[in-house]
Amino acid sequence: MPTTNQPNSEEDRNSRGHLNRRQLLKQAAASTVAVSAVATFTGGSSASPTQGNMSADLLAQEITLKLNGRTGAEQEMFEKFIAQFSESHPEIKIEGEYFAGANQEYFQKVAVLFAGGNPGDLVWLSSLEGYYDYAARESLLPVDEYITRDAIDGSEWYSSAYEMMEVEGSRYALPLWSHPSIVGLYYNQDILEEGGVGIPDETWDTDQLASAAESLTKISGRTYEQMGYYPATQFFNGLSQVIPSFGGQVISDDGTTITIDTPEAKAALQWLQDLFVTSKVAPPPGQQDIGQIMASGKGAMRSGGYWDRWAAETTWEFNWGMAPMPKGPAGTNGAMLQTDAFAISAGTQNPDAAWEFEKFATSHDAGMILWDSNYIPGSRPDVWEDPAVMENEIHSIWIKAMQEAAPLRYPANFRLREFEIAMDQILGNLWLGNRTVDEAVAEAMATGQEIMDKPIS
Amino acid sequence: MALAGRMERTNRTTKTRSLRQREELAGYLFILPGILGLLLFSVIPLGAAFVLSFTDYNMLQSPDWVGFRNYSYAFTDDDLFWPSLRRTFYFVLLDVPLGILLSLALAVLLNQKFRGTSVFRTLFFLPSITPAVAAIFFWVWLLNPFFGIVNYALDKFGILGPLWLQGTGSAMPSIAIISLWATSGGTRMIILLAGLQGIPQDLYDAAEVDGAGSWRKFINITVPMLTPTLFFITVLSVINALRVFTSVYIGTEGGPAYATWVFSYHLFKQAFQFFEMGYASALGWIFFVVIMAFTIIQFRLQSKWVHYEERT
Repeated sequence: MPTTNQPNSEEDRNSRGHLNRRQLLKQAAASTVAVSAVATFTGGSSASPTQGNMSADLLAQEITLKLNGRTGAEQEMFEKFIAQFSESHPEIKIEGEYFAGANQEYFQKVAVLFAGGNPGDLVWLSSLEGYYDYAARESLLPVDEYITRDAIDGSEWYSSAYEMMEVEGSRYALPLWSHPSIVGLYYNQDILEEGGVGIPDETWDTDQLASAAESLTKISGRTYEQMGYYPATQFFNGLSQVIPSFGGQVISDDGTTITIDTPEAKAALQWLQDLFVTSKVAPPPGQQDIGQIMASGKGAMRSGGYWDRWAAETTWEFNWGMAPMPKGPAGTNGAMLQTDAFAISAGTQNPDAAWEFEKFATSHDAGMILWDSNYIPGSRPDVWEDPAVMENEIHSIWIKAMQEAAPLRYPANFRLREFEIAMDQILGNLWLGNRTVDEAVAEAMATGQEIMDKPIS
Repeated sequence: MALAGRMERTNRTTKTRSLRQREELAGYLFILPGILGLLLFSVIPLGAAFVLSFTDYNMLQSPDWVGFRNYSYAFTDDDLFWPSLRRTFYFVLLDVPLGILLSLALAVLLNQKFRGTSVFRTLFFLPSITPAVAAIFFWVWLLNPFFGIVNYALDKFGILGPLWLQGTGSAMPSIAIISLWATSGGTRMIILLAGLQGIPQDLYDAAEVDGAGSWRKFINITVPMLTPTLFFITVLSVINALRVFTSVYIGTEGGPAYATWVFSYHLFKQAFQFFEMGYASALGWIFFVVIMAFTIIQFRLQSKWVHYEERT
């Protein structure tokens, strides 16, 4: 016999907040559809800066932010940032979510995170990959209002780096760290001394480099016993420096035309092809890991960026040094500025807190953390040109390149990766000796222009 | 009395039905996770991809309906579409016949009665369970033409080794070599071994009585009796080979100079690096049709060469 306080009918049960199985399923389905619809059509929150005293607002609650980055050196840097930031902002907890792998793997994961609507509140992006892509597709939070509200002075950073953060009239980040691309010549001093070619310095030119590399190369069959010099040949990290050093340009100022068909650009490509095909000072670009080759003591010289200093400091067990990349016939080494950033994702629920971290990560203090860790010391002259920092011989070489660096040239439709991959594939035949410069350039011009003529995807 | 009997029968029927229903329900519950997985991870994504294939969709913003534009772009304007499809077929031609022959040779070897068979079986099977990424990295090191041990050894004998994964002509055969190493001794070999062990011994005995030698027995008994198994693994091998991806992604990144830029890699690049998910979805559906066409052709052709034993 039922007791009086038990519901007898289905209506009774429902009226007291219970659901039968059918209703439960109905409600679950309706909720799923509603959540999906909201996720699909709202496009995230319309985050905007809090006015007034932000610190007081933030202190009222504990906030957790997710930060995306790569494992390895960058993870080490970011964890140091987080530790120091937490001291001044105990109310903001930052959880790093790091992904292993090189650029390709990392940026694919980031793409999937954005596509799934689940990127970190803060995402590490580079100017060559990610930053412009996501900014142009409205996936990042514009920070112009924050910049105005907090009276941020853009002159705290290298002006060209600060300008690079602007995409179609809006800024989406402050410069995290900048570098003048691949314009360093790292060398194994022991090999160079043994080979009697002298030590590279700022007086070297590309002819001297090629000649020294040839005399240092030892090869048996296809196997390198000693590699003379490994140039960089990727389109943005390589050709975009070598071609200007010969007086050419890779892309027009407005980013709408590929310009590697000039005599100067062709001379640069010929110089590179000769290194691989004629004098064979290095194997053509492929699966070999130049970092490993140098670390094993089999490589005499390589082109590299500022960040390669970190690997040299930590893994090279021989006497080494670095010189500016030798000048080409145009009297320059083609330095071109690149800048990385922590961008705030458009869908963040905590834009104010994310902005606080953004300011910290681009501050003088953060720059000094980077410097103390042998990494690229941010993007600020007050760190790069700090007297204590400038005492470092290698850093002082990079400063000059940084000050001379030209702006990054990239396709105006932001199809950087598609463009670069196509160029690298097509020019692969040049490095293998399967095409003449004229043939490869004609093919690259046609394909490159086709990509540049596409609309923004 | 008659009524009581009828009631008893009815009760029994009801009980039987109830038991059957319970068993059916249990059956459905058992397969429910699989069905849900199929729906969530295959059927719904397939349907979504079909719809997206008619849109311009960059994954970050709402898709725009473009009708058949993605399909027409693939067939007429995409410079990499036909070459990538051709390279994929080239890989299938390299990988499938050689792979089946090698698997068959290994299965025949393991079907012999000699000591240590199980050890060899394990050794042959090991590559197929080695994590693909690790195995490919290993092969990339071995085959590096300038620093790898293979060319180093060839050089010691005065032979100039090929460029392997770094040569436009040798890259795809090198990918096939890696694939053959990984798959020849795997599931395909085990299925063939099972097929070999299912061939009735009396057929061989009768052939021996008639004076047939080993080769004759292999050609006239083993191969015909094995054709259903061969058909099955051919269908699966062709499908797997058409989907070649990991070795390209890890080993060559589609290079050098597009030499290994196969269809699945092309699709992947469009989707996850070039922000062209709508176009990638169209490529996915085109590829689905290609694979389906290959499979249907194989089923149609089976009557020409597959021998199904007829029992009287």
